[in-house]
Amino acid sequence: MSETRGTRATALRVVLAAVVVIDLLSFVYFIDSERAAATATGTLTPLAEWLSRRACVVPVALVGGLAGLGFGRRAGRLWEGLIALVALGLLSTAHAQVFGSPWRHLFYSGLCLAGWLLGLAVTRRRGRPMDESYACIGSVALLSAAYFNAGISKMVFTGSAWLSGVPIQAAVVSQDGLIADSLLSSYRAWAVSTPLVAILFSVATVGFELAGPLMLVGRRMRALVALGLIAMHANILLMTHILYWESMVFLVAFGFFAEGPVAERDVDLPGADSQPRTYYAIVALLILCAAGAIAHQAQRFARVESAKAEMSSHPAANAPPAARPQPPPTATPTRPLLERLGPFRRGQRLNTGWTVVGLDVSGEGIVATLSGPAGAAAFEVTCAASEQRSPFDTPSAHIFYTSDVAFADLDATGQAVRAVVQQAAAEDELCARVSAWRVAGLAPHQ
Amino acid sequence: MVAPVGYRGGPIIRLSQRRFGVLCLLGYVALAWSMRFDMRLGDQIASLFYPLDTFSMYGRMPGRDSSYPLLRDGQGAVYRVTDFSAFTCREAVTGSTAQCADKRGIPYHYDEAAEYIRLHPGGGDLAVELITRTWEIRAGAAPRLESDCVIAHCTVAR
Repeated sequence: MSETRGTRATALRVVLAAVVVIDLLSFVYFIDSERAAATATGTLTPLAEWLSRRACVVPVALVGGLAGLGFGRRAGRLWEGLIALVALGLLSTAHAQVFGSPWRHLFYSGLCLAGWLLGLAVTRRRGRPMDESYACIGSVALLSAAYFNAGISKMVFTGSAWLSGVPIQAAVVSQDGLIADSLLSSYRAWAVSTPLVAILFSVATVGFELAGPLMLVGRRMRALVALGLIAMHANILLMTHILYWESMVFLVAFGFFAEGPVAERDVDLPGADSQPRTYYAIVALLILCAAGAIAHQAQRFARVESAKAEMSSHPAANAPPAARPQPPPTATPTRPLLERLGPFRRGQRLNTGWTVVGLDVSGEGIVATLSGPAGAAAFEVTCAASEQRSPFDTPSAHIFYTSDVAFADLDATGQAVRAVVQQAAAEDELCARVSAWRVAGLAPHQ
Repeated sequence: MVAPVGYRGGPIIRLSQRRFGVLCLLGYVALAWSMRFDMRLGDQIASLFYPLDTFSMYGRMPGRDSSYPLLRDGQGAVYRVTDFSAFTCREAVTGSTAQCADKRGIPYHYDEAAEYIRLHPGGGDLAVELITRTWEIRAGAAPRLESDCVIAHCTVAR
């Protein structure tokens, strides 16, 4: 490797290590902060509670941070990099459990590091452990894969409708509120209220994301795509205050300063060069796998959306279940894919032997559907004013039930449901909690 | 592969590295999409393990409405919550658990607004309402102001 190339690779490794270490240390603060918020709203699960303890988080961040520094100091530090990557993975998982969703801006350091390590593994296997040329390409490849996936998801989940500009308009409105108090707010208002501009931004966003793989073609193309993506991020920052600084740093570093593919001599990859047939077979197989996986997720998404549309077209499904006497449970509102809601989780077994089989939000509360030996019953927890009373009511909340099971057979289960609710929240804050649980259940996708 | 004698770097080597990149890219895409898990804040939002992801956070169509928490004075002028430094509110402001829950945009904006108000107690002369303002978003048109839902009545000072 030439001296210039070696220097560039060193600079890229140092930048990568620095962002990895910053992300690792940031996780300590992010997890702490989300843990406090989740505790306040009653959404902290036992698993998340354990994973987010400082006694778990701080050592992982420190070990990962030290490993990251070691990775950055010298070329070829595969194991140090791997430890830092595992630490990022553990902290990201803990954070996602506490918050309820992964934070994607913290994925870029992990995926660039993963690509770098894959490249190092290849060159190490061929007896060139200090050669970082493949590592650079690995990072560029996974960085471009992230944007490619973002573009694919827009086309798969929304199709051409994403190009209508509506997602851009909605994002700006819900992030900014369109208050006219600065030059920037004038820009936002203009972009949002001019449909053609919103459409242009939508098309450019999807175009540059889908062009991500072109970053592997050559230096000029890589710089061009990186420039487009940096402009996209800068515009997102101006329009919505959302800063993806990690990805912008990597786009600058790998987009403009990574050399084109270089090495002093070749590395024998599966099928590369010497056996192009094997290579093309692997590529074809991976394309098939990727296409199948994308189609599968698209089908799942379509099924869920269809179920939601069906639910919203049956207003009765949102009506509060009546107290005794009980109508048949066929109208039980359930949304099977809601895994957890307030103090309930799907599959949870109460001490009466009944199991939670469905969770959903209702007009003004939450609904847990349980199944037991005698049949099924839905219990709605709500603080909505109602003349009806239920034998399972707490002093401040109603727990209505809907079932065709004889009351004697579900009495104990109703009491158990009430106990679960009362354990999750003190009586004086129960209604606030019910409202929070409901809002969490209604939370928009990502 | 053994490089030809005297070979100083050229298309063959570049091809090999590019092919490595293509394999990495395709492998990442296939793995990221292979399994997607549901979490509390949504369906299909997490892949098998870090750093795999499909980056689908803005991939879905938003709802018909978008909302944002604002302060509105008697003349109808609106302000950001952070424009003021002292708040006294008649009703409890409890973020995403407060009133107008069905007209809520992004929950953390409401939580942050409530937290800001809680951390900035004090008297003021200006009477305002903490509202959630909702716009209807339509393709090919500017957003249309739909409604204001009052969360709390406050007096504020800058």
